[in-house]
Amino acid sequence: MKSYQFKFWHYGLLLTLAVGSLAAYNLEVADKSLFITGETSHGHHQIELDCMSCHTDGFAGEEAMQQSCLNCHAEELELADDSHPRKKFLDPRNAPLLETLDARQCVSCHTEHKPEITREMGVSLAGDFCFHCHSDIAQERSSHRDFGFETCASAGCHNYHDNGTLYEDFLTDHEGQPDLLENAHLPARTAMQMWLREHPHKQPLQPEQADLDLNSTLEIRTAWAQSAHARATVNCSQCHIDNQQQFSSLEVVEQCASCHSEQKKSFTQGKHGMRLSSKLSHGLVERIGAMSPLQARIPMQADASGELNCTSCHDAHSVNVHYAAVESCLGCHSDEHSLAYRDSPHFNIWENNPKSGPSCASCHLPRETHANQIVVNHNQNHNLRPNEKMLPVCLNCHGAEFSLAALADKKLITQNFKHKPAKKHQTFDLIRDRIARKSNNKKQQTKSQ
Amino acid sequence: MRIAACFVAGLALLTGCEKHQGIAPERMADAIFAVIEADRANYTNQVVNRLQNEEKILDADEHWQDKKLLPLPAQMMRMGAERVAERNSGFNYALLSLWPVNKQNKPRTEMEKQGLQYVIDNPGKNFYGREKLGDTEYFTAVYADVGVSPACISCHNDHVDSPRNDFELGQTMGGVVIRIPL
Repeated sequence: MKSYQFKFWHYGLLLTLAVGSLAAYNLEVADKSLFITGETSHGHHQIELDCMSCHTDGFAGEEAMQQSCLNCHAEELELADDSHPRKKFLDPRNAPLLETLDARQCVSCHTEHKPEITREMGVSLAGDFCFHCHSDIAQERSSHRDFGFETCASAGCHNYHDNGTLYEDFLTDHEGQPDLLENAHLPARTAMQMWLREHPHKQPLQPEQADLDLNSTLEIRTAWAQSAHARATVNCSQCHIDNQQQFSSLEVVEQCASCHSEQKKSFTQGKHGMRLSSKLSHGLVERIGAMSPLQARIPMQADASGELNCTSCHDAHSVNVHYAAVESCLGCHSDEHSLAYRDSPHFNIWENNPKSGPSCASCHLPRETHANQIVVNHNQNHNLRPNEKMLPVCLNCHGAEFSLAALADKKLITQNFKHKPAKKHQTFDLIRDRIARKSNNKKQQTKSQ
Repeated sequence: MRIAACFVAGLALLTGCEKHQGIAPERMADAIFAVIEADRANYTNQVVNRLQNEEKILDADEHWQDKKLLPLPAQMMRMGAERVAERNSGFNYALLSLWPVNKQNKPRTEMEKQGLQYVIDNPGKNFYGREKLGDTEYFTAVYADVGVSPACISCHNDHVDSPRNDFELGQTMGGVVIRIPL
């Protein structure tokens, strides 16, 4: 039998075919990981394997890419009353400015897959980007003459998108408040109270009234009978439809959302539940699974495992909000801030008053008013982007000046607010100057009349 | 000779027809301004001045969403301008002044400065010109923005950031700049 004589180009051809096949397999069948051009930011790494969510078909152009950003972020920008919306830059007078920095496009400032240049908030521009449009600020506000442009977005001064609690009138209204408010308390959740008002004659279900007897132990029946679900006459079969016992993370979230749609919406907007969002490509979560603590980029407990869904924090049967507010968080998170919580004054108050003391959830899953109801925002990243957005939570118990100073003190945040902030926040010195100027202005006008 | 006469007549006819095609930018800008001015005057007088100054029911405030108050007339106009720009409607407009409370509303191009000064110096007249911004040439018209209500005057005269505090009713406080790309 004649042996085949391989020539040099034959080896090249075989190598090309092998590499090509591997790449094609990775792109079409496997997880596309070979095609990730660089590490994504902390805000997107959970979904980086869903290339289509951002890049669409890859050839659709920058307008399609912009639309991809808005598909997930338009609503929160609107809620925040975005200070720099695209529409502001459509004025023809901005043409020269846009040649330097095209602020109409999200990707002008937030370029993904560039870990070497990406900073906080996923911004991939140099920190003095405000200069490009606001170079004449010192002429407009003499009080800003000595500030560098890299300091504009320092905690407690300005944010590019969300200045909801940082505008002048708001700070003026909150100037002079004490560090700890006299009437310090968190708003109470309203869902159960509302239900009881609407159903005054409904009695809580008892363990023996459970309408399903699959493999339920006494422990499960007791947990359920003591839960808010049993109080609101939600029986086993309302979750275990068709006797289903095993649920995927996606099924858990969908099942809970049949009653708690607002909670699902906010949960799937945050890092915990992002992979379960219906805005991602169909079938993604089945392919890569829901987010797991092991995949986090911040330190986690060594034994933290499993997928994140509603029942990860709220036990499936006890749906315990008290447990979820601290124990669930600390069961996974082991960064310095989390580990320091049990040594903080906040924890002491929580231990003595679990109903309204400041837990992990009080700050990171804030209670917000929507349509006259107080509901928990389950997007735990919402008020961390940037962290001054947490100010409304702090203001439940603390004065604004104290709160802003605390939120600007990185060491204090690491220590989980163990002490008072080391120094005052300069924003309030500017506000006091401003109030004095307004007062003088009024006096001068009164004199001249 | 007859052929030449026919050619000249045909050319004149075609030129004449072309003149009557579409709307001249100046006419278009005047029409747009009429709508803007009418809406603005009505909002200022019938909503803000009435509710805030006469009946004292609801104030207008820069942070109207948070405080659950009325938007300022200038904000209403800016919101309209932004909405029009977003729809790519074929024109843009802005409310500018040589004495703006918000410094972002001061003139930035030479033509804006020229136009705003012109409408102050020539009451009752409008300013028209052409300018190039980026790669686009615009027909630019500037119309006087007159203080039509005590609400406008008192707000601008009292504001700590206002560079001028002696405005009077009926005086030109700034101008509406309308741009149509050519």
